[in-house]
Amino acid sequence: MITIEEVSKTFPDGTEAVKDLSLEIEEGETVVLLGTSGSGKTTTMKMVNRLIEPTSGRISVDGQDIMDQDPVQLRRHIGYAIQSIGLFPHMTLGENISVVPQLLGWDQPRTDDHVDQLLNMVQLEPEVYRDRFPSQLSGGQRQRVGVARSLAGDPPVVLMDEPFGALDPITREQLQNEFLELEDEIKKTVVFVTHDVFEAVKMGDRIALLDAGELQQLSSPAELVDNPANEFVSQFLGQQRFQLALVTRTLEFLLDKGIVERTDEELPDGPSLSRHDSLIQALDRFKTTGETVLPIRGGGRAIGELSKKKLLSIIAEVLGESGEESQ
Amino acid sequence: MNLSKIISDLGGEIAFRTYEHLFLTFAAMLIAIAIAVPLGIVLARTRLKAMPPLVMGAAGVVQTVPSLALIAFIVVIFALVTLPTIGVVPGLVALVLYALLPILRNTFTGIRQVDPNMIEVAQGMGMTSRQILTSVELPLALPVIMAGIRISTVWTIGVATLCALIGAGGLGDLILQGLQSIQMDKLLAGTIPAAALALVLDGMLSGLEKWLTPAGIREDEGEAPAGDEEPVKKKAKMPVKTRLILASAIVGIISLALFLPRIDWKGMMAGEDQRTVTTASGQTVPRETLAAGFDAEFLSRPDGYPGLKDHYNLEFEEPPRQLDPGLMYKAAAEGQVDVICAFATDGRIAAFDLTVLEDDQSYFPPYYAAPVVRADTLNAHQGLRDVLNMLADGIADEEMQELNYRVDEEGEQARAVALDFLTQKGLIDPGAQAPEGTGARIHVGGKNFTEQIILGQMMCLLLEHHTNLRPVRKLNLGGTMVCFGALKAGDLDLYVEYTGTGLVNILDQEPISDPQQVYDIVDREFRQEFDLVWLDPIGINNTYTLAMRTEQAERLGIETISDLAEYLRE
Repeated sequence: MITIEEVSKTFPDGTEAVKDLSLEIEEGETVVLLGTSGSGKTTTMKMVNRLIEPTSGRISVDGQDIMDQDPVQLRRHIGYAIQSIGLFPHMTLGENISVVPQLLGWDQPRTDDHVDQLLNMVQLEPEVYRDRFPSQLSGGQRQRVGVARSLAGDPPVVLMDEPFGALDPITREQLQNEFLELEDEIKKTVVFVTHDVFEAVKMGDRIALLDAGELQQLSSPAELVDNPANEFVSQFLGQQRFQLALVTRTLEFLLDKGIVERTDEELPDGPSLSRHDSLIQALDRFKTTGETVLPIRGGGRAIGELSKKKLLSIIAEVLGESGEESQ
Repeated sequence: MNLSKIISDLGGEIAFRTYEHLFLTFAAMLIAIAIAVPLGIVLARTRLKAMPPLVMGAAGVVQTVPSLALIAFIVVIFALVTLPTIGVVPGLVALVLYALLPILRNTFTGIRQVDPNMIEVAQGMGMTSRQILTSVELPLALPVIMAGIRISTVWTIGVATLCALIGAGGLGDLILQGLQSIQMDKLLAGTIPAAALALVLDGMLSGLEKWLTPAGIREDEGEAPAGDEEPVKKKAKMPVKTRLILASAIVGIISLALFLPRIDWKGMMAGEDQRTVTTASGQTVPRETLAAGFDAEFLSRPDGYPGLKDHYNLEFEEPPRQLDPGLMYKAAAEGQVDVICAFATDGRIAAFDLTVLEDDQSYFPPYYAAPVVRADTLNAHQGLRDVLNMLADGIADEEMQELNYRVDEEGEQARAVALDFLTQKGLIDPGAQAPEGTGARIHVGGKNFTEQIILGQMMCLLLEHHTNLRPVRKLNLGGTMVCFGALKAGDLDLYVEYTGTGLVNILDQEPISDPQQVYDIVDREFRQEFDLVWLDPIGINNTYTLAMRTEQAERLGIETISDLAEYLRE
């Protein structure tokens, strides 16, 4: 969907923000651009909708070179969300969300339907919120509107620059979860910029870790955590690597490794675990259900069984690796 | 000095001057907004970093020039490039220049202060530069721009009072007349409406500012508590764009209402206007609209326009414009006005090819000039009377005209002209240096026109050469009542006054035409009432007259004030 080929960006002051970057983003995929400030992640993102023009290299969206397109038209077909400040304070939420549909020339009834649909999607009751102003919302609500606005006009590609950056940890987690569920429904191609490795691991299908304008590793979150490609990646993950493993390692991984025995039985009624659940999510299931043993479901069947005791010992083992390593 | 009397006496004039004032303010503000807002937008969005400080600096410099000086500069510059130096045009130019900065600065900062993230997100969403301006930058900057317009408007109302100096009209006319004649009534009649205008317009603009501020950024809106699930009241809200259009329409209508009466319909249809007038002598002459321009003192003193108007039943089509006495003659010569009040001894009457209209019904009393001195000053200094009387009957009208002309038009110094004259007359030895005075200080006054300054200089020179007193020159005071008040209070020891002015203006008596009789009355009354002494008249009779361009007066067959009154009645 998005192809970045040997792209470099040097600013007029001589700063080389991005160096010879190549990256392919599949349709429907969420790729997280991860890095510290100055790593070139935001510059890379802004080159996709030509807010910043590349110095060299080629970027194409849906097979078309972006440099051949009118930047204004290009941007109207790419969703864009930034940190909370991005809402226009003088417009109601409805008007904020209507901006792109109106730029695209949609008629009023279609725009209004779309606005209500998007507000519903981000769990804001349209009747209540449509005519409110951003100043009347909480930070989390504003951020939801920011997400809804970036999806307005049905763009196939959405660029998000730390969209949950300015939120408290609890609201942030909630919004991340909501967005993941939303993503499952709408299947957009998302370029997501963050400096937070936990967020990256949680949100990304793949993560592109950048440093000083250069790509250090492009892989799935699990791969990133389990097999750091170089010294920089190891250092970047640091001690968090083992906590991250609790998030990236799924029950599937345990079944594959034979740590949990694979079975094939009829799935009993009642609570169960998904094979895609991470260790942390599985632990959470035990806590919320109060069960001591839960079946693991996969393809509508029970493909294994995990006790709370076993899970805790596995977790202890994962975290233990960090203890050993630091000795 | 009660308000109802002011209103019954001056109500019509107050209304007209208020209208003129509003006209000036509106016209100046519309022009200033039309220049400053687009310029501010361009400056805020330009990539040339050097531009904004340059332009803002220039506008700032204009603002530091005192408003009086700015008006003076415009008159002087306009005179150099032969643009009209009096009337609405130079007045408007000054007002617009003065009004620019606050609007310019607020437009600039209003747009610059918009969060750059907001601009970027607007860009990222695919707005064009123009859409960003109209949908994001301007709505967010609107309250700040409106505040600038408000400040400007209030300033303009204040500065516009000064435009009365150059014949642009407005409430300043009443204020200046009040100052000239030391009349609290007129002062209040000009000041109260001006202050009220400022308050009302400020209030209206402040309301407009609130109304135009987009609801989301209004301060009084307050932040609703988060999670408040009450549906907001569904009121039909008018979009800001609609409000702006509506506001512009209202301003437009008000402007039209103000501007329409100013358009010279008669002038526009002059081609079809074949009206004629048959003069007293039986001639048929074309009917033209005659505009009058008088100075503030003539407009306010009883032996000036108010009395003249009644005496001759004189009715101009438009109320006479108020002009600075220094600008009057030139304005008449250039055709900016047609009838002016002139002083008989002014050199510019002849020099500018103006004709004096004969006072055929002897309305104006004689105005023989003579020094008026405090009796206690005369008693304290033996011989002072004789020295001042050296000028008695010493200057003829024609001589005075020439002296005035040398100062007014040839740019000579009043003191040099006075010295020259006294030397020629043998009153001062050629080349003699005045001895360093060691005696008491004598405060010599003069009103703010050339003749008074020359005569004041002569008094001072005589004192310097023939006594050891030390004259202090206070030669540019704001008119008869200012001079007289200072003399009475002892702040002045003497100044040159005119007998007719003393009789009508100071003693408040009916005009009399016999010069000797007038002199006797003022001499007697001044001694009795104020302990002031009239010395011997110095010869000139500087009577008020009306003057017109010779060419026009001949063409229209107007020779006397009666002719003029009749012409205007036709």
